[in-house]
Amino acid sequence: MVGGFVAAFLFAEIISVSGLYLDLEWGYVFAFAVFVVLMFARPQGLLARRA
Amino acid sequence: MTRPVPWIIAAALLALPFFYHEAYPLHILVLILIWSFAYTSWSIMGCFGLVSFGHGGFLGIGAYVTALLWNYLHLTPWLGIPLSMLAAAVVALLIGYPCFRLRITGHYIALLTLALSAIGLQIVTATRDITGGSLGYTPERYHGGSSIYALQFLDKTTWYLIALGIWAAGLLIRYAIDRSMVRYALEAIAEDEDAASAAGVHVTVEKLKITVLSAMMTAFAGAIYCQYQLFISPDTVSGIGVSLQMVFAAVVGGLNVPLGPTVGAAVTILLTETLRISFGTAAIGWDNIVYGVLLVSFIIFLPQGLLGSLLPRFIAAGARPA
Repeated sequence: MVGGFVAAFLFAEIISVSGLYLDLEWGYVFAFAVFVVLMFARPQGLLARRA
Repeated sequence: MTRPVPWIIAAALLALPFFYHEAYPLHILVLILIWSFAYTSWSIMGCFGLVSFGHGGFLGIGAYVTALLWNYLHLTPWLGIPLSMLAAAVVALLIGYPCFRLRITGHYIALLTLALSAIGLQIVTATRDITGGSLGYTPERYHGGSSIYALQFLDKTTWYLIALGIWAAGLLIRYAIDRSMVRYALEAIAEDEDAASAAGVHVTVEKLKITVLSAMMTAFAGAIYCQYQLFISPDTVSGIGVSLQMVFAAVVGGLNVPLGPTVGAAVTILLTETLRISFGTAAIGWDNIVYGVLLVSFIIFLPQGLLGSLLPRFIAAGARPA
């Protein structure tokens, strides 16, 4: 549950902060790019422990 | 020449535009043929369990790269299309290599490719000064209207013949894959990656080969669609909606049958057009609801797809002694 909260906070921040400096669409581009990188780096999730 | 039926059908398809000149039905046929090629491109990956929800991105790369090169650099589509296919191949490698190297499979691939599709859509929208954003983009018309150099033709018959050739090429590629060692390697990988690797199959390379081929073919379909319609927008050639449409149509037609995506394209496009014309402006949005319900019904009751479910029954009925 905490992981979901952290992820929601992180993505909302990336979208909002990017939207502040660039267009909002770039915020979504960066958010999805972070998602892709996280899927490669930690496919089990940000806070999950490896099984 | 032992089986004459396919040759008769091929001759009939070739002769059709010379006897039938109605513009709207020919337009629908061209669309069905182009989308059939795109769905076949998706299915050559999908039939081996590599379910991509990001092919809308490749379609968008093909369409937008070709159109932008034409409008800004006046580069003929004969060069623009190969370059767009190269761009799609690079993106497929960038996403595919880490995916397959890190052994990301199943739902994770679906999620990753879905993100790729969303990134493509947002980039097109964000760069609206160059791409026209959500309002769409129009490649410049060549002076005389029709030109081989610009790959622009006003005549529907020409486009029909081009689309027919492309569709046939797609089927031949699918046919070649079905009869190649790549198919056996990918089937082994789909069953059990570890066992396939132990048997000497290079898992990453084999997956990359089919992903890059599929991406390049999809980009080609996007570029041809752009040349035919001379208008593209994120809704028609990019984004999640288009990616899902490709998956649905291929599944509805039958993923494991070479002609399945063609049947899927015919069913979905004819269904969309019929519903759009029947409902008109009387009930806006209802055509999409009916379309969705019918698609879900097809997937629930005919999980092998229309052709995948019906073909074995026809074959069994034909083989049964009288």
